[in-house]
Amino acid sequence: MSRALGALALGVVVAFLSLPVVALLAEAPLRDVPALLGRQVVQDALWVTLKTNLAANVLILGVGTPAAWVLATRRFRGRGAIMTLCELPLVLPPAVAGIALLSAFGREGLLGDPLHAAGIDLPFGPWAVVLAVTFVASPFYLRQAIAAFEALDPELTDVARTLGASRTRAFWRVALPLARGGLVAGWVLAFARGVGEFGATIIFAGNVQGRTQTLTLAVYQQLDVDIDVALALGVLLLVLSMGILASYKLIGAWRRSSSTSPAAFVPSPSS
Amino acid sequence: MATLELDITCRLRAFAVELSLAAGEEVVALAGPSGAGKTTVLRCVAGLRRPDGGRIACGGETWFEHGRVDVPAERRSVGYVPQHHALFPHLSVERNVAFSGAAPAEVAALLERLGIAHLARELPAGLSGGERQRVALARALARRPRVLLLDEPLAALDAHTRRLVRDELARDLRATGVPTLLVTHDFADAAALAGRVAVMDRGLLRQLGTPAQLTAAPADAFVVVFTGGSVLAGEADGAVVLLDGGGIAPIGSPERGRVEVGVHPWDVEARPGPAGDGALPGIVDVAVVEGGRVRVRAGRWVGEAVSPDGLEPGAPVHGVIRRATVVGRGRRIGA
Repeated sequence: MSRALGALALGVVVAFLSLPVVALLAEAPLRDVPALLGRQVVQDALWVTLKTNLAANVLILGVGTPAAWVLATRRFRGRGAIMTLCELPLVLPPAVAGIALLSAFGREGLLGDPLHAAGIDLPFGPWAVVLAVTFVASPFYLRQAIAAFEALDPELTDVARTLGASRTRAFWRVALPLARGGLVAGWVLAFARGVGEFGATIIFAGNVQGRTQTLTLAVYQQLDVDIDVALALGVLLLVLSMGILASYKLIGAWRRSSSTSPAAFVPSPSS
Repeated sequence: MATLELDITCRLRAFAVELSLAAGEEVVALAGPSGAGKTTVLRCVAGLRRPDGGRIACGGETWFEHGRVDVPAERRSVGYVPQHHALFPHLSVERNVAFSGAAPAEVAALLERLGIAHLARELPAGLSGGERQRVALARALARRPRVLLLDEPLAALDAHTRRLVRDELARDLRATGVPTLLVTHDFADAAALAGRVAVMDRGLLRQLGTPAQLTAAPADAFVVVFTGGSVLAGEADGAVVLLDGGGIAPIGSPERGRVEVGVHPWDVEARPGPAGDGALPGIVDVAVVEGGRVRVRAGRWVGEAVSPDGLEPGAPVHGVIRRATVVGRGRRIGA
């Protein structure tokens, strides 16, 4: 391939990716953005996004971390199937995730009756947003966490146990600090995906201001109401995304520089 | 007196490890080729792997009894030093050693004793191989273990450091007074570090004895080869064996018929020139100066000479056997 053709292709890529970003900033009434972001609809969306994502991230980290540890350190039947299942939300269209969640937890769904009997109505409430975000964002964390734990030399936790640490203590004092970089990187990706969630949420949780309307859903709604608010929300999310991307890159650089490799030597298979 | 007793069976992919052994306040080396199941034994004692049968006890306390007792690793009080030391990379030397909860004064005393006090605040990544090893040993000793387990303690070191570290380690291990099992694939290391050596092959104990016993009275051909000797076949005729291909080997007690004998290099005097009566004939493959002696390899046998003169590769050489041990008998030998 000629150099000119390569340069042209690269130019197209850069232009195609940067043009919409530039256009968004050009079209948005930048000077009015602070005022527009003060509107009630934006404040409500910000608050809903914040608390639902907080809850979703607590679930992802709290349940995902021990699950990833088990998947990374144990070999058992069905492990491969579980790993594949964990990655399903990555390829599943978000709209399908939404309708699937509705089929499971909706009033007419699989668990609808027992949940209703217990006084729990998930759909079209804030918890539906939490479930939708958790469903679509968890694979980003799980994949990175499993990889980070798999990269640890198992001798380290073994030695910790011979030094008197229980399995739990060995995990907290050795595995977790050493896998920290990978876990944070995975969490940043999951957080970004969660904040950007749209399809599954609008189907499973609806688009109710102050209850289930997140920032992305507010963009969609404001298109018909006040395009300037939609654009201002776009600028806000763009800045947020750039911040996330930058911190992800920084974490990557920090992990490489302060690389706490488990051993200076390749661990040999035990004889 | 603290005594480690084990009698275990452990199934591996290709074979089963079966080992019965008791160690008092001494260093016992589990020696054998890679893949003999030596590390498996250490992991079983440490509680990191469950044997398929048998019993492990230390100082009268049962740590494992098939189907009845299995004390978890964290409650066995073993000092385990795995092959590449597995120092915690995120903790300083001091905090590595203190991991088991040892008091600061105790940690400081150990670092002092092992000559690594000046490294207390360093991270493992900045240490040399020999230093890492001492940190790993200090960390294991800080646990006040009732048994020390060392897996290939010298494997991660280059040849030069190795000899220095080996002598220091031998001294340190003698000073601990704790029953110690160490794994090595090298007989010279085993002989330097341990009072007794258990030679293992494919999971089975071939012979257990002092290094001197193993070389003076090897149990079988495997032990001869593992301890650096050569195995030669021949026809026994009383106190001597007439070796196939020439040469006479004197043996301790009279024998008749086909036999296999083991000879060690220090019992074969290599001399330049073609073989005369009763000497092993050969052509020099390689002659190396080793510890003030010249070790000469000539095809199927290895001998020693005082001087390398006339022993260039390709030169004719003959070996005079001073002493040999019968390690096998039977009509099919050498056939």
